[in-house]
Amino acid sequence: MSTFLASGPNLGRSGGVGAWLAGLSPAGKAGVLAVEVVVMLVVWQLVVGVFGWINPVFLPPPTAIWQGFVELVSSGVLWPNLLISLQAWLIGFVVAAVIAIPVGLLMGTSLPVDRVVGPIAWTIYATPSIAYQPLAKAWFGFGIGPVVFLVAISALFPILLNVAAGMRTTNPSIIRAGRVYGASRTQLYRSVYLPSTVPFLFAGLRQAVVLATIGMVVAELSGSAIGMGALIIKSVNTYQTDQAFAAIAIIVAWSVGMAQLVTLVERWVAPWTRTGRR
Amino acid sequence: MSVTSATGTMRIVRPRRVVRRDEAKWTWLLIGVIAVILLVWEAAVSWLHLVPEAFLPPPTAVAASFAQLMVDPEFWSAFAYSLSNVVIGLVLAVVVGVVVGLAVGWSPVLRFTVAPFLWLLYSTPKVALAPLFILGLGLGSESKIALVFLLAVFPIILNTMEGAVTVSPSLVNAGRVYGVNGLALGWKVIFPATLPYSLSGIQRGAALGFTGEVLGEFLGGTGGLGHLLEYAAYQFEMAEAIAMVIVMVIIANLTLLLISTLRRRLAPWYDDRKIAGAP
Amino acid sequence: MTTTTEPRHHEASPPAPLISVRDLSVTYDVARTGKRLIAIEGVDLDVHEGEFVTVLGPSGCGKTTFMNVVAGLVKPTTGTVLVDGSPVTGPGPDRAVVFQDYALLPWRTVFDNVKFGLEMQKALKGEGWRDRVQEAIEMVGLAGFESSYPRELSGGMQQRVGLARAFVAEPRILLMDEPLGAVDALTREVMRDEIDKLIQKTGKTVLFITHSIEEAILLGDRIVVFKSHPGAIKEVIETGLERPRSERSVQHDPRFLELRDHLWEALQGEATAAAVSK
Ligand SMILES: Nc1ncnc2c1ncn2[C@@H]1O[C@H](COP(=O)(O)OP(=O)(O)O)[C@@H](O)[C@H]1O
Ligand SMILES: [Mg+2]
Repeated sequence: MSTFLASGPNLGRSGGVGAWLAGLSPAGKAGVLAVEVVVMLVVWQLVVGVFGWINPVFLPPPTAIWQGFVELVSSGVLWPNLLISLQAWLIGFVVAAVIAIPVGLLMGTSLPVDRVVGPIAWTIYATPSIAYQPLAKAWFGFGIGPVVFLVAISALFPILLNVAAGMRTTNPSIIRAGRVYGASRTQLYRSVYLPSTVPFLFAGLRQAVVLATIGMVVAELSGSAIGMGALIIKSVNTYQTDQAFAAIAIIVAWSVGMAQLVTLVERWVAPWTRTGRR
Repeated sequence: MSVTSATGTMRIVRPRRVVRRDEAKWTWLLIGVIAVILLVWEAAVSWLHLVPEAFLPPPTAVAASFAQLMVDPEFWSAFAYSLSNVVIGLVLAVVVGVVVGLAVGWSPVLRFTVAPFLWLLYSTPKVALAPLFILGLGLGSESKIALVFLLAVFPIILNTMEGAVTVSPSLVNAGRVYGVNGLALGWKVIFPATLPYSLSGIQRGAALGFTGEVLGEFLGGTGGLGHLLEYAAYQFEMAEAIAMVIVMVIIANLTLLLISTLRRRLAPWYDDRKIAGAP
Repeated sequence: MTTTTEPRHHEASPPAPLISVRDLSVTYDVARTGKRLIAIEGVDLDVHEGEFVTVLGPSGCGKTTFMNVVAGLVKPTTGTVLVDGSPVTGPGPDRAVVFQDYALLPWRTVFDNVKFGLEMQKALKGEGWRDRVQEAIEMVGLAGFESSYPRELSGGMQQRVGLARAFVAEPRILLMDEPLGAVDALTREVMRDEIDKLIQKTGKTVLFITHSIEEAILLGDRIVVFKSHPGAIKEVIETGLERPRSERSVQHDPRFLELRDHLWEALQGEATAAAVSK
C-alpha cells in the first residue's frame, strides 16, 4: 500500500506539497499519516461531540465509541457474543478451505472437472451470498448453523477459483524446464504446479477473509439471536449506537487481523514472494 | 486468472472463452452433469422419499414455483421496487466514485491525504452499518438506496483511483506532445485509459449494492425481492424460496454479464489479465 | 523418407553425427482460428560431437520450434530426429536446455534451482552432488548468492543460474534458446565470452539459437541460417575463424567482415519478407 501511495505518475502539476510528500522518507511518510489520523479523530470529535453538527446517535464521536466499548466489556455482553461469532467464522472458514483446496487442485489437474465445476462455481460466486441466507435459516435453524453456512459459502469460491486459476496459469516455460530436466508426472506436480499455485492460494484466502466476514455479519444481522451481528441490532434498537460502532470496530479489527495473519503465513510459507532488491 | 489490484486482494478474472472445436463437447458434459444432479435430486425426494419434501422440494416443484412467480404481478412489483433502488443507488455511486477516484488518483496530495482513509473504509465490512441506516432513514426506499450507495461506492473509487494512477506516464506525455491539455487530456487520454478499471469497480460495486438492497429488505420494510424471499422461507414455502434464490442468481449473473459486455464494448483493447502486474 | 529406428549408415570415414535431423516438419493447430500453421518444413541437419552450431534467423521463423523438437518437448509432424543414433521420444538426461526467459523456479534459491536437474533425475544420493552443485555455481560466478531467490537477481545473474543448472546435469548436448536475448547489451557481451570459454573447456556439443549476427559468428563453428514462411534452413556456413575469438580480435578480420556482410544481406531479405507477410 505504501508503495502504491508513493508511486504513480504525477498527473497533476507537480506542486510543492506533492513534491515534498514524494520526497519524504518512509518514516516521514508514516509520521505524516499518523498526524492525519489524529487530526481526523479530533475533527470528528469536534464536529459531533462538541459542536453537535451531526446527531451523535447516527455517528457517535470517538470518545463515545470508546465508552461504548468499555460498557460492552464491563457489562459482560461482549465476550459470549464475540466468541460465538469467531467460532462460527472459524468453523465456516476451515470448512470452506478444506473443501475448496482439493477441488481447486482437481480442477487444475483435470480438464473435464474444470469445465464442469468451473461454470457452476462462477455462477454461485457471482451471486452475493446473502441470497442464500433465508434458505440457510430455514434449513439450519436459528443457532450458529446458518452463520457457519454463509461464512463457508462466501469463503469457498474465492479460494477454489484462485487455486484452479493458479494451477492453470503455471508458467509454461517452467513446466518445460521441469520436463527437460526429467521430472516425472508426480514430480512435476510437487515441484512445479503446487509451488506456483501457492501465491494464488493465499490471494484466495485473503479475499475469502473479507467475504467471510461480510457473510458472517449478514447472517447474524438477519436472523441470529446471538453473535456480534445480533449485538449490533440490539444496540441500535435501544439507541446505544456507540456500542454498535464499538462492535463494528471489533469486527473490522478481526477482519483486518485475519487478512494480516494470512499474509504473515504466506511470508513464512512462500518467502520467495517477498519483494527483494532488484 | 488472477491479478493483483488496488484493492490489495487479487481479483480472479473469469478466463476468456477460447473458441475451440471441442468446446461443444464440454458444454454437453456440463449439461449432462447438471441433468444427472437434478435427476438424483428428484429421485431422492419424490420417488425414494429420502428427504422430506417440505424440507427440500424436488426440482419439478421448484420449476412449478418459478413458473408461477413469472406470472405473479406481486413478484414483478417487488422486482421493480428492488431494481429501482439498486439502480438509483448504483448510479449515484458511479458518479461519485468515478469523480472522487479520478480526483484522488490525479492529485498526489489528495492521494496521500485521503487515500489511506478510503482504504480503511473500503476494507471495513460496511454491511454492519445496515441497522443504523434503517434507524436513521426509516423503513422506506431511502435507507436502502443509501445502503446500496455506501456499499457500492468504495470499490468504484478505489479501482478508478488505481486506473488513474497506473495510466502510463508515457501516455500522458504522448498526449501532451500532441498538444492535448487540461480537460481534453482528461477526456481523451485519462478517462478512456481509466474506464476499464472503473468498470471492474462497478462490477464489484453492483454485487455489493445488491447485498445492501437485499439486507435492507431483510431488516425492515415490506417491499422487494429480498422481502419476498425472506417471507417465503419464513413460511417454509421452500419451493418458492428456492425459486426466488434462482431468480437472484439469474439477476446477479446477468448484471455481471452486462457489465463485462459493456467493458468489452467500450474498451475492446483492454485485456483483463493486464489490470496490474503479475502476482 | 524412412521410418526405421536404426541409425543411418554413412560412409565409414566420418564419425556418425551426434544429432541427426532428417526432413523435419512441424505444424501447429492454432486453437483460436482453427487453422494449421507450418512452423518449420523440410529441415535436414547433422551436428557432430563437440561442435558449436549457431542457429540464426528472424524472430518467428521457427528456431524455438526446431530446438524444442531436438529437446523432445515438441513432437515432429513428419521426419526424424536422432540423438546418438536413437530417435528422440521425449526429453532426456543427455540434453539440457537454457531458456530465453531463464525458466527458473521462483520459489527455489539459487542453490536449489541449480540442483533441480539432479533432483529430478534422483541423483541426489551419496555425497558428491553438493560439491558438484557448488562447483557449477562458482563456475558461472555466482558464489555467495547460493541462498538468493531469482527475483533478487538481475537478468544476467538469473541466466547464469540457468547455465549452472544446465551444466550440473552433465548433458552431452546443450540447447540454448536465445540465452542472452533478454539481458542488457553490456552483460550480453561479457556473458557471450564466458559461455565461449566454458564450452571450449567442457567440450560440449551446442545448439545455440540467436538473432544476433555477431553472436552467431563469434560463437559458432557453423552457422545455420533460417528463413521464414515456412521456417526452413536457408544455408549453412562454416565460420572458419580462429579461437579464442573476441569482438576486438575479429573486428578487422576480413573473414569476419565478409561473413557479417553476407549474413546481413541474407537476413535483411528475410526480415522484410517476414514483415510484409505479417
Ligand atoms: N504452441 C504453438 N502453437 C501455435 N503456434 C505456435 C506455437 N509455438 C510457435 N508457434 C508459431 O510458430 C512460428 C514459429 O515460432 P518459434 O519457433 O517460436 O519461432 P522463433 O523462435 O524463431 O521466434 C511462429 O509463427 C509462432 O507463432
Ligand atoms: Mg524463439
